[in-house]
Amino acid sequence: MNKSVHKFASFQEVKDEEYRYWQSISPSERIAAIYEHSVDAYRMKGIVADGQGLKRTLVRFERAPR
Amino acid sequence: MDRDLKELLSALNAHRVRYMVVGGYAVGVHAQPRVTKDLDIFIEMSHGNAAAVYSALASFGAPMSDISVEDFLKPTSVVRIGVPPLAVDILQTIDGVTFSDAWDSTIEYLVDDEVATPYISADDLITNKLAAGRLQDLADVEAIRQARGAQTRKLPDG
Repeated sequence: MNKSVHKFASFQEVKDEEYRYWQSISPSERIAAIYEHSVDAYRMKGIVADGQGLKRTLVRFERAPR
Repeated sequence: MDRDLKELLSALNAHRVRYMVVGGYAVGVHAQPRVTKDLDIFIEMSHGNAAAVYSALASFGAPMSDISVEDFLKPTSVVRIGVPPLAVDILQTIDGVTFSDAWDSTIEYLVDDEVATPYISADDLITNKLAAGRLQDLADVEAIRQARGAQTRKLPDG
């Protein structure tokens, strides 16, 4: 754990720091994090996807007109 | 990223498919990571590209018996491979942005430092999200704008 301490004057500054962190790492790392966040979120719903691979199922459907 | 997702992207590249990543993965790249149910792939709707997509999916190992090249030429048709969160949606149209308009502005990123993948630009993604207009889309626009703003606002003092 990084034990440095930052003091923020507003919630906006906190959010800015979060965005700066994510933008400071490589796009490849951000892409990996999206995948990990998504798999973790589905796991919390009881859907375990990691390690199962992309199922070779294929469906076609029509989007409703918008 | 899952090995199969990278394999699918590699198959699209190998068959010279004209595509770009849109949706949640694009938001995550331009702002910060968020949960998404799938990887959205926006393809050019042309005969040559539709044939290339079909070949790429066949080489990937997707069951193609109920799918034809023409399915990739229908504006509102969506082909989904897999199940969330390991799913890929292939889209011929998105709200507010045409493929040709967005193509020149795509930005290529590496997935896991391996697979070069074109992503929709932040500006075109904002246009798309505003046109779509659902609550999640508007939240995504806010996130992209906040991420941009954070780069220019002053860093907090220690």
